[in-house]
Amino acid sequence: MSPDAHRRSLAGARVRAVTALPRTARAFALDPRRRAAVGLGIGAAALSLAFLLGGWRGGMVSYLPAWLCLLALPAGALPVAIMVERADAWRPQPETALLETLRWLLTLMPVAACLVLPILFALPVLYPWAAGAPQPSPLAAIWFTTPFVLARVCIAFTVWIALAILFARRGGEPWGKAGRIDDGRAVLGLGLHMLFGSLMAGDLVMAASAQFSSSLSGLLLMAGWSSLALSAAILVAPPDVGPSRRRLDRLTPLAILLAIWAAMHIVQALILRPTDLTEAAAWYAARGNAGGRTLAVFAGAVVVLAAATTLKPGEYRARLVAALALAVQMLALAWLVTPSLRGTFTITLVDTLAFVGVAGLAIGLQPLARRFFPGLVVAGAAPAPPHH
Amino acid sequence: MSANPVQHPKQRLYGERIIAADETVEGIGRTVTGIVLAPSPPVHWWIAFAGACGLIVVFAVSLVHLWAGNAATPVVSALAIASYDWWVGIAHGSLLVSAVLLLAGVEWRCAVIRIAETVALLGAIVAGFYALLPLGRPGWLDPALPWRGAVGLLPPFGSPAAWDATGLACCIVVCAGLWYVGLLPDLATLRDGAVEAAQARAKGDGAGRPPSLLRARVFSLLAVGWRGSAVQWQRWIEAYRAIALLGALLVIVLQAGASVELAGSAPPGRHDTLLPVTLLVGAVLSGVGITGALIVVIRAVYALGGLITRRHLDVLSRMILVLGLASLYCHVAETLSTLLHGDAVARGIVARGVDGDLAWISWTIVVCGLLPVQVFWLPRARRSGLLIALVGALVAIGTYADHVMLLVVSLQSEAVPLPADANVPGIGDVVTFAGSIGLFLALLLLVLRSLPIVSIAQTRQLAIAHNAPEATAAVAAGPDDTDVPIRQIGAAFATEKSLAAAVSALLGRDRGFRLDACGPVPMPGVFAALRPVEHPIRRTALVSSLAGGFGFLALCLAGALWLSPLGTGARLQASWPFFVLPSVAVALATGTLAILVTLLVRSRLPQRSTAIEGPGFPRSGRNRFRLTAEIRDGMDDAERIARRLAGLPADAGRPSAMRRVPR
Repeated sequence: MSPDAHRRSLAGARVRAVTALPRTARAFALDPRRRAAVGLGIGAAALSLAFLLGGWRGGMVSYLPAWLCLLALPAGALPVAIMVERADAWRPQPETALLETLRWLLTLMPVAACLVLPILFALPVLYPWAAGAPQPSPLAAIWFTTPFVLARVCIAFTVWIALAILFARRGGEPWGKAGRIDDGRAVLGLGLHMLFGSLMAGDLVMAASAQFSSSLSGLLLMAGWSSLALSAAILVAPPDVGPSRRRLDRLTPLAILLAIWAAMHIVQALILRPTDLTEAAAWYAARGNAGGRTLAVFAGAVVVLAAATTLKPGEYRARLVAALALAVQMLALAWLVTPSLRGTFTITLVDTLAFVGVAGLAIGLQPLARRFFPGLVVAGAAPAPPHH
Repeated sequence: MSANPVQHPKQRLYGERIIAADETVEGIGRTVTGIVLAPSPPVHWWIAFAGACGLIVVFAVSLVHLWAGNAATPVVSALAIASYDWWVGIAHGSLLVSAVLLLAGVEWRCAVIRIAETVALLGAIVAGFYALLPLGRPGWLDPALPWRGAVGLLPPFGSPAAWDATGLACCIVVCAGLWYVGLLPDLATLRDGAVEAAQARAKGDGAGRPPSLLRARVFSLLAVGWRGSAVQWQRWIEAYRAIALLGALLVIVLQAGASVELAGSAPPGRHDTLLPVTLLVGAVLSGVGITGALIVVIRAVYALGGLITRRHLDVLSRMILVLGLASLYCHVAETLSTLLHGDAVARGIVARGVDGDLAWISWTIVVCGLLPVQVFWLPRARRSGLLIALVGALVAIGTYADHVMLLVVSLQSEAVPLPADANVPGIGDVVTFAGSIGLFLALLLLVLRSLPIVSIAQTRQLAIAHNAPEATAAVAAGPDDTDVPIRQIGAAFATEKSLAAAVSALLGRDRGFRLDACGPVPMPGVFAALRPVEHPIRRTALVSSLAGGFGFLALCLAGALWLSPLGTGARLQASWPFFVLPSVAVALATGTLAILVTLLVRSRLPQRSTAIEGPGFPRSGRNRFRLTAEIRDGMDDAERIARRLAGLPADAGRPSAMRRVPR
């Protein structure tokens, strides 16, 4: 036997030995064929425990921010994917793994739509207007009624799913489309997203507070969603190879989004805090405990770190900043809603269980959503064309 | 990069060319300098200038009326503040657009960025005059200067007037810095053109009245000896981009500061948290609208269709449409939020705007600011210069109505202790506003007459990138004057690539040569071949900005501590947040000045240009790239360089002309 043949037979024996090993629990859970079932099981168990510990109201108060984190993935990925696609159209560039990952996040939109149902069933528990609280204006008395809110939520998710199907497909291909660029698609997508994102911000997030509302909340929430989705995409996207490696600067868009998000928070606070608006003062007071102040300092540090890291970008630095930004945005979503329902900003065990539960259900329901919406299957990357 | 206009994907975008196919490096210089160096301006110019001067006269009359008649009574007019804010918005919007386009490296900006920069600078200047001149009374500067108190009791460090004055001054500095740095290479082209025209006239082969010698000297003085060397170009790019970044930051800081100042003030109807976004979008929309209208007019009057193509019109109209949609979003969101959650006063203002005494303002916003932009959904409308000019002017009117609604109406509330007729627009307000428009137009016309309104250097880059190379006559590179000592050897090249190859060939063997490479456009390839030791300008900018910002903050804090009779630690603790925004603005302006000084000092400017002239040797700055080698070791060195250059392949570094300069 030649040395090469001997080495090959040894390698083959090693592979057989590995495959013959008994499967661990982790390997069992990560098997793509069983991932959905395992996710559903863990999710259902975690949510059951959360409702057992927190009760119906406490469980739903924890469920709302967890679901908002899930919604942020596809809803935040949508405008970023559109902008990247448009930028590629202006200056033809090869496809990147980041854009592919953002498109994959869009496939979570039907799952988020499915998991909003418990919130719609729990409207009186979560929103004061549904529990009969007085409305501040005649229009609000009509606007915040169950039929109108349900209609808006249904329309919003129908439009969002349609947009997800539209933009999850590889429609960019700038080098193939050059000469027939369709800006209308981008303007339509961004416009509808801004419209329904703002409406959902008012209906599902700000309405948790009885009196206070801010017209900036729509843009603020959408900037936070996009930061969260981009952070998640940076965290899980594989490194680019080939011509796409030239576009390694993934951190700059995240730093810009985080800066916009932070600037809007600061401006809102500067406008509202000095005035004698008691509702605003109460809203900020509920969030101004030690936890809230710690989050503010942590978020500010992450924004500065993201800006500073753009001066010396690198793959691992980008992933580190993305992980920190993801944590900040998830906590910020909880900061927006839970103090309105609990009176103060805290993260409890029930919150963590609800988050695990929603994540597990999302993993479990995603294959089902793809079966119902075949348009959401993201095609593989095409071979990169020559760089212009 | 392909020279074929049909195959290039960038040129197929939107089916229009970014620059006409027949535009060349030399032709662009001739076209744009021809506007400035023409013996006399066109008749249209004189008519427009007379009209602008007429409006200025009206402005002057209103000033005299203020000074002579009403000096003793206070001027209370929110309309003046609305007009001031409108001009500031136009300046900020134009500055932000030009800065973002420059930083993003958008190609089509090249032909229009100068107009946007000019609008930004002139808008800021007019806002400055508008703010200062109508006040017309002793001590009128007091609220604007943080180190002087009106009556020596409370220095108004936290006064919005001090914020505004500091912000506006910083805005003028940054606008002027961006404008001048962009203009610098073009001033050198103008200088060369003026000198050549004067020389041609002196030889008797020029037609018409030549540019005066004084004009040539002024251009020479302003160009500070710019030669267009590869190192100068590289610093120019870095400085230009750095100032653009500072400008964009300044706009965001000032707009956010002004919005917070308004939204945090007492009058009702201003507490909307979306206000900063609304004001920023409105500012950019009005800036792009005015810039777009001016671009269309300038393109038509000066026949610049080859440089400002229909592609530019298409992109401008798309920008106006997108910004108009953003403005629509802000207005709808604000109105809905007010109707849902607003207090009775805010809801009352909305109701008065729909069908009450404020309806004419609200409907002006809708009819002029929000609806006309929707016409740009139609592709044919996006190519119509007339429509772009019309919609651009209309959105500016709509933005003005927006400012009136925000500033004037909120002051007409019972909560504000002012006379009932204090904020009713009078004839004085109207003539002052008309005068400010006249001032803007007069300054713009003077700029059009005396400076290139299209960036020559940047459009030349486009011509080189997108059009076929110009035919250049090859000149034999043979020895001449070989019996005299040689000081320099000059070589001319048709392309930057050839020049970079020649530099690499010379420096590859002997880095002791002192080479200087010049050209009409930035030459990153040549700069890379020269490999000079350079320290980034942005480091200087950062250090200077920090020093300026902290210095101004220290000045304000010291004033609060020691100049005020109430200067205590408690007062300092309460007032320091008010100093932050002006300090940031001063930091950005200081950074701009530092970049400008660094650019000039490192480029050893001002200096006299030392162009190699002679029969058969073309000047750089037209369509040639030029290499100059300093000779130190006598004839052997000179011959070695000449032989090496002449021995290079024709398509990889051989010069099209060569000349020896005797000592």
